[in-house]
Amino acid sequence: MRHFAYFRQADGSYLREQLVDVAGPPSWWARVPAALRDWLFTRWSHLLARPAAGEVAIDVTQFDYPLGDFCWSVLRFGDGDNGKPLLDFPNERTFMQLDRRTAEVVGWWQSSRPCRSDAERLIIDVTGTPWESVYGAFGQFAHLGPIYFFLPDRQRTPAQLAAAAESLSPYDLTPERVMAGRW
Amino acid sequence: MPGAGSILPGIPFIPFPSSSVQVAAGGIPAAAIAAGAITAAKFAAGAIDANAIADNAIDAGAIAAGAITAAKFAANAIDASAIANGAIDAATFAANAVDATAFAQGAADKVWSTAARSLTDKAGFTLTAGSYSVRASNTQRGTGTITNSTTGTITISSVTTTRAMETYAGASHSATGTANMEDTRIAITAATTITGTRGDNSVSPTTTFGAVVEELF
Repeated sequence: MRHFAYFRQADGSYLREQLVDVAGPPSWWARVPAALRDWLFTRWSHLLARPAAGEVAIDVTQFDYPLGDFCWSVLRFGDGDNGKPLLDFPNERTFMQLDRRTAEVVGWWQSSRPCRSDAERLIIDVTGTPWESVYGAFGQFAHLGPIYFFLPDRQRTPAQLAAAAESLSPYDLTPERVMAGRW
Repeated sequence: MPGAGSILPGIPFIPFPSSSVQVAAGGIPAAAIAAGAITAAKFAAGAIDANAIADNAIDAGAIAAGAITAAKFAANAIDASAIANGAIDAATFAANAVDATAFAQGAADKVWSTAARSLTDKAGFTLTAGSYSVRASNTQRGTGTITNSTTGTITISSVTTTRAMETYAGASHSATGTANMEDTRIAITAATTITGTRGDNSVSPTTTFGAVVEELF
């Protein structure tokens, strides 16, 4: 299986990714003259990736990252070593992590690649939101009506709820959006 | 007297031209040639002049599928040095002549170190691994908590555990929970998980722990 990421040729912005299944090695590959291998490999890789017009395909198999992990990367032409293209991950994003059973904030993580939810953990990308300002604080997630609030340091009294609501409003973290894990 | 060269009286001998012996099509059935009857050792060097084979003399359509098998070529039977530069013209390969599915991941690995190529193809092109640089995909950081338990986890972006490492990791406890400081460990326990462990959860205060993860390529 090989993993390809595609970027816009005009500006290097991310377009898509795909995995391509590949059969076992041909028995005659070892006998191909070295002078031909380079050309054959380039041709082979191009045939596998099948970039559309205006796309640049990059073989990113070597990183062993999951499909979709390059969504925030950018290809910068000529910015790499010796004038090579540079695959850059320019921005880190901030993820708030909730225990699905208790709605407690139990972790924070910063990464330039996606951090994914699973059956026990709900991961919310809070980059660029007011929630990013409470990075590193743990506590309870709760809601008043349709609005969800984060209560740092396990504040649970009505007065603390109201204060937290006021400090974090008007950011609307509705249950649907939270539980869908879209942030 | 019979004529010179004649073996029958009164019938003159007309010799065949020695250079024009011809065998009609199908005259020598393949079945009549025993296995091994024609050996390379019976041909003198240069006996078969490649120049004597006209263009298209060997019709590809006459070679049955599978007739030429890779197993019949000894290792290095085709000497790469005997192929002149340009002898194999890339333009003679039809589209899809090289079947992508015939190559494996392992085949690609052997040429990852190929030199960089210029980006000139206007119809879309492919860069193979190794021909570009990469920056800032391999560092991530954060913090987690352990509450009413001896362990807590942080979910991270996927890494290959055998090449990932924590370059910084630490833990802190509230003043009343100092007993929990004993046997504190922080480790990458799965591709997407960092686990913090403490020795005792008999006291309630929370332990927080932090880590920076880097991956080496």
